[in-house]
Amino acid sequence: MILPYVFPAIFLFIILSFVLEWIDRKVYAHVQHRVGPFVTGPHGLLQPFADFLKLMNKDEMTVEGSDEVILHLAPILSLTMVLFSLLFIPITYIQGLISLPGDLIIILALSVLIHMLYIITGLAQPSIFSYIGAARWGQLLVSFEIPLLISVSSVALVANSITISDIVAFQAHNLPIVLYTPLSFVAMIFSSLAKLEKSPFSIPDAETEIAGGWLSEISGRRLAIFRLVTDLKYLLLSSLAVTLFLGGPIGPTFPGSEPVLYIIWFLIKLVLVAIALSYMRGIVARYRIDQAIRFLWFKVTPLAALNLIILIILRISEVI
Amino acid sequence: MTPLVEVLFALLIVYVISSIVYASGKSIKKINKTPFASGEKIFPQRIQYLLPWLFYLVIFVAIDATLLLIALSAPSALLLSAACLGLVLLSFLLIPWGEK
Repeated sequence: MILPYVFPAIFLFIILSFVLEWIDRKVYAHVQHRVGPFVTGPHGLLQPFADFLKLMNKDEMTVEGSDEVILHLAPILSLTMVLFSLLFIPITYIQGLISLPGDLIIILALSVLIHMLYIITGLAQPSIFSYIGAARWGQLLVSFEIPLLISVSSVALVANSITISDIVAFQAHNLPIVLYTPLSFVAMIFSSLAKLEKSPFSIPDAETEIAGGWLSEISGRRLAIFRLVTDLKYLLLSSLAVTLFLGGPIGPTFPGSEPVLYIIWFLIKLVLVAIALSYMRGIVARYRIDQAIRFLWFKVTPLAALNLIILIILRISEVI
Repeated sequence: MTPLVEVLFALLIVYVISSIVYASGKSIKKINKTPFASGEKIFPQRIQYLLPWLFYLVIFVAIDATLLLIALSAPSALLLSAACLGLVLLSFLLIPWGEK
């Protein structure tokens, strides 16, 4: 019976996403020799939560001629999808709160749908900035989904399964999959940066060029929810990288300590991946849309494909 | 594996919680309809787009991902892979050819 655990899990995910946003802002600030959030809470830990509350209490403005049904539904549906996807991630055990055969596909499909909602939100407003932001999302979507899918396919090939619990169980009895698929891991990190709109792929909402892009006319609680969805996506993609490539919650334990140590191992790996993503965001400048597409198609996709081809050859020759 | 009924109820719970979080934000009875939130007086224009193409994109990406993953994770299940390939080809029927 999983239903009594759904609400506590969602509560935990939202708190974790705020903590990850704090880590992101701190790392990004330190890369630029700033201190970052420092006032609200110890070392500014509560700043993301304060920002969320502030936005939730601001007036929401709707541009004349925009599609109000979509603008009301898109934040709710995107929040639902990202929270539901997180329920599949194993944190305390090799199996997540929800486990289905082929659940990896469900997570990938839901993540695509979230971006489709972003595009529809941008198109639902009669603003040229929103339209350009939505168009850029569409162009990026077809560029970062392919390397991401190829990376995940490499994992599925090694573990011989598309079920997350099987993939984690494989890593419990073998080496972490990142040792078989290092290039795919790198490709997934770049795809994750693009999915999260982080530099160098912060193109759909580029403030200095298109005034926030698809979010330029979004305000109040809608903006708060979309920012929360971005934080939860950050948590989801970091968790997915940890689960698929780094063994998830698996790590050295001693008898009787598994439930606690599994959580600790997972959180350590999660924070390391999150810091890596934030650090990369801090050290690179934003690409133009054509540069980003060229980079994703001609550098990241071949990287992921090369790893997949190597694995297929190893599989055919029965090495793995 | 989790029973499907519980998964559907979990999805419902998540949707209700998301709706409550959204509804707990400040909503104003009278919607401020301005040309732009920034206050600039630029003539608002609605960009024309075709929803059938977006639906096609979603369905194609979902089915394409399924094919790739199933084909690679189950190399012995050739029949299943062939069935998925058939589904991908069928998805081309959804292309809104007449729309421009």
